[in-house]
Amino acid sequence: MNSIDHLTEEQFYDLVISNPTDSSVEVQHLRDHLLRCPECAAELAFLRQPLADFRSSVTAWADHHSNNRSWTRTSHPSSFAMLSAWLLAAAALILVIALPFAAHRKPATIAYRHATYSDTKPSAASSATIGDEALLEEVNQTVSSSIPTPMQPLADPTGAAGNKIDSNSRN
Amino acid sequence: MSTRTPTADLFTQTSEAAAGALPTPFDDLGAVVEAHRLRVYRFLLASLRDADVAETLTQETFLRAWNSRSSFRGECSLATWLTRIALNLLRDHTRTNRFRFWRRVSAQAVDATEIASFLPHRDSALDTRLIATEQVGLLWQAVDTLSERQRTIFLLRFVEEMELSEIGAATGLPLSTVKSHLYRALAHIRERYSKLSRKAV
Repeated sequence: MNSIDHLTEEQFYDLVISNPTDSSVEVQHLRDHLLRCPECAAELAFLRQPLADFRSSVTAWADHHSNNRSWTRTSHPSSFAMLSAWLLAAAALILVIALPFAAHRKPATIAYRHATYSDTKPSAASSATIGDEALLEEVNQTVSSSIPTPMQPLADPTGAAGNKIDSNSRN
Repeated sequence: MSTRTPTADLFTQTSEAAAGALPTPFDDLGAVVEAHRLRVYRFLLASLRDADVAETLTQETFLRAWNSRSSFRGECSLATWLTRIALNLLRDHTRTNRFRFWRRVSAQAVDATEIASFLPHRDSALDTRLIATEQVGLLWQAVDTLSERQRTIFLLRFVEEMELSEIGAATGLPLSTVKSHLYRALAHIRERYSKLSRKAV
């Protein structure tokens, strides 16, 4: 390749793509050509410089946005840890405030419960027992009676009627 | 001042739990995120030009990497592996939300001149600065006209400065195909850029 034969398009792009640190024989050969051919060198610079500026602008632009994003914070504890700490502190405070009240109210509550238990439970139990006994007594009476209750008025129709008549006649 | 990310915070405890297993790069996920977050975010941002979506997909990249960490066997570098995950997410996003994506792009995408304005100027000469900014803007316009695959490969090479073999590993394409896409992308950009430059002059 001499200086009159310019780089082919593929060679040109190989140079654009290549890293500055690339020391392969092929790339070195192309670089040698650039030293002898100002036209190809100018053409390469025409594209390379904007590409470098393009990268710089994108990097600066991304840095700018990244710094303004919510994910970038100082190395303080995370919001979750902060929230947990606050909740824990609030719970501890509530406990500290509520504990004396709870301690004060506890015996009274127990006494009240005792009282309530002792008042209500036996009375309820006794009333239930009384009710049961009364019912049983009634059943016993009904069963043991020779004449069923609905037929009671017929047990001594004459006597009752006679008494009634007597009383009426007396009147 | 050091920084930590929510993703890193999220997994710190789980990383400790996994300490009993064989050592992997994910034993210190916080360090992995810190080392690769900006690079992944930059690539996604340059591809989508939407800072919000880029952030979401960056977080998703690390989440997915963590979930499938057992499949990382060190056959390629961690950077390449993460890039592959980011590429898959990017593809899923642009495919499934294609219509919404383009609508969003038209409404919220960052203008090329805005990106060009971030160009750091080592040279203080005003005219040089203006020319460089304009050139970058023109290059962005040319990059916009590339196909999705060409643009991806172009960004991986010229923004992320990945080796061709790494790009092949990240995209799952043979080296020859990567080269061919790059040649075509460069040819297209060179042509468009020349045209736009002439028009601008």
